[in-house]
Amino acid sequence: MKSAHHHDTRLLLSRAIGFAACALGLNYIIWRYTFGLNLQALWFSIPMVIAETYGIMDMLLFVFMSWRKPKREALPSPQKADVDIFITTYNEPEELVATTAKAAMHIDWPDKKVYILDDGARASMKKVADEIGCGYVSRGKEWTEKPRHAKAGNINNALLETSGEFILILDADQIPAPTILRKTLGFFTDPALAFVQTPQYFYNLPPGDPFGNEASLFYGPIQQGKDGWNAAFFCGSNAVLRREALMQLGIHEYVETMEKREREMLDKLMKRVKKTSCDDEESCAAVKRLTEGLKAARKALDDKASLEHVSDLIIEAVRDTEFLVSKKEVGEIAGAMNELAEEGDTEAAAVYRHIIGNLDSIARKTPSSIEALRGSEEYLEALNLARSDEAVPVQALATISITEDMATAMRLHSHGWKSIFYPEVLAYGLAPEDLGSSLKQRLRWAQGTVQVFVRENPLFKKGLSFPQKMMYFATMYSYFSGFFNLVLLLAPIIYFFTGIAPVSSWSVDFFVRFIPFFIMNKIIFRFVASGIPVWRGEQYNLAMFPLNIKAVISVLSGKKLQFVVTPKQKEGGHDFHLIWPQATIIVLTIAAATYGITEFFLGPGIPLVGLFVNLTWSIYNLISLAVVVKALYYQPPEGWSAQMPEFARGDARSGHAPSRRP
Amino acid sequence: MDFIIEEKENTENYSVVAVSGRLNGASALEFKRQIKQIVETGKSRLILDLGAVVFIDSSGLSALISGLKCAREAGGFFRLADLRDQPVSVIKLMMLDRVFDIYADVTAAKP
Repeated sequence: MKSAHHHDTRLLLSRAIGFAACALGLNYIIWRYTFGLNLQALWFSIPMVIAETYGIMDMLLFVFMSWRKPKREALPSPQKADVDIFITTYNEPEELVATTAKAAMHIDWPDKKVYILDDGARASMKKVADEIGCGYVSRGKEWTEKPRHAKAGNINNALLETSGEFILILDADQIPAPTILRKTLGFFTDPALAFVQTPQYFYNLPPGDPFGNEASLFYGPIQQGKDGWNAAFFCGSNAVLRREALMQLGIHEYVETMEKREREMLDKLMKRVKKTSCDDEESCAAVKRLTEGLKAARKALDDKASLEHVSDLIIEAVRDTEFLVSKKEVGEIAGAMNELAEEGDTEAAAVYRHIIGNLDSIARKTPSSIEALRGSEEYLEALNLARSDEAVPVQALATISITEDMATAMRLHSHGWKSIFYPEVLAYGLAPEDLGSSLKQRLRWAQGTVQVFVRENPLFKKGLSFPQKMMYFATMYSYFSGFFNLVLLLAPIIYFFTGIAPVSSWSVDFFVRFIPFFIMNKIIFRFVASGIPVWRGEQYNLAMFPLNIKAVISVLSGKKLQFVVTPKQKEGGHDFHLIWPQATIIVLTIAAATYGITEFFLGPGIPLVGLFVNLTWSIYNLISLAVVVKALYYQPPEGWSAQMPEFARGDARSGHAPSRRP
Repeated sequence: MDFIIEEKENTENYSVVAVSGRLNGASALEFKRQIKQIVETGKSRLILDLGAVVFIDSSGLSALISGLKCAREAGGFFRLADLRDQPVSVIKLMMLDRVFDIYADVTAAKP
């Protein structure tokens, strides 16, 4: 009980510090707006105060997030539960996938089936699966020429090919500990629980973590805080999910999409038909039939008739209209025959009699094009409920974003499902080993997150509680930091070159408000992190400004985004272009500081306080940005190599046959 | 109760497919395979007699949707008839009554 007591005390203390930090932050920013603006240079002071406001909002969200911290202890696992283990791969080396698959076969759980989900459809990978004795799933021919939806599509495909009650998802490089299911399945005795996420831990981080990949802050205090509000994030790997929850999500999405689409397409068709003119009785009758049919379908839709029924009404109306038009055209042919017959053509007379005698059946069989429907085949197809634009109609994992995991979790939460973050490391994976790969991964996360923000904004999502909205918003919000960080990086440069300050004056009034807030801000972050190093993360947060700006702009400009598979091996190369924006700011900062110092001693110059504040600020910026320069030229120390977890090493060496086939 | 799916009645206008047992994760694959086979033989106007289906879960519902897709892409229909209480309640719960044409019995479902 002592540790529980300690936990509670620590949490209370953290709340007190958090509260103080927020109060000091608000005190500072209110002063900045009311007395602290440099009114002579609004072009500078306004962006600056907005950037500061952004930072304070970020802190408020962080304090709110860390308000609760549930203590999760593994519960006894159920007697029996069928579990499918999905190992997702696209182009990772076979050896890597094999190591993970072998470890998965050794997971301590009797009713499990291991599958390699090979999106690369490699024959060699199939062979590996056969050798290990696990299942192999790749996409069927129904996916040909259909959107593939990257990893989400890969998993959605496998969901329809398998049947276990629970699903453990593992990225190709995530070697699972044998206990991963025993520790997590117990939570599912709560029937409303949709998933349990466990941490991502990297066993190949070089000393000092030059690329800032260390994830224990996110898969620790951050996820724990979110968990406190029933808003733990599903992160695409190392998580156990309830199949029923996923399938229900897919079905909901199908029904919603179909209804929306039926409505849209019907509206489009009606608009087209309205624009159609007719010049004789028969074609007017045909258009009328179509109009009435569509109206009836519309009414049925509004009256909540089944979509299948609505779709049938439309198809029937189209068929009848085609018949009417066709009848008219066939009638005209008959008329021509009749004229010939009157001129004595006996064969024409026979044809005439044949047509008139079988007018309806001939008209039904003769294809006809209706002016009003020309070029509307796609609408009609969309009305058919077959979802022919997609390979599979039911898509459990959200496909609206290249970070499918976040969108899926948000939908689950909005449907009332619960989630748990269980903080024990139960899988061991690989982090990118060079700056280029690391940046690719970060860019995908940033773009995907902003994409979800734009397409399914949590603030307006029905079914989410207020704290859940805040938890999703907080993460999305943090990816907009690029613009504000740029302002913070440029500010001292502008000051040195122009002598213009973003604040009214570097006065006592400023310092007594700013310094306590700044210190408290640093303290709360470190206190919540409770021993996990945060400095590398802070450096990267500032240094990643170009990437975050790029992510937001690329999403807002509506460009099609690629799901980039993070390279699991070193790609090599020290491309300077990766860091040119940071390098530019570094050079400008040094030049500005040099100029400022020279001015101070030689010219009319800037006040001493201004010089001191901006020099300190410049140094902070330089140290932060230097992290990417160091990362670009980083070489791991002689003799260092990644150490695979003990339990997996034996497997990799012996590669013996597993005891049980799935 | 074992899962069984069989063609019961075939006319030019429609085919009745009788299903019995539990339509869940375990039987969904078999269900989809059979429906696909039936549609491939040219029968796409299907009435599903679900009178003997005692349980459906979301994997089962997803299989029904796949069946619907299959039949409609071939220009036919996919009507559900004679549902028991549990299947009706899950279908309603997931608003699938918004999608499917549901009939009280097989006779009512005949075109």
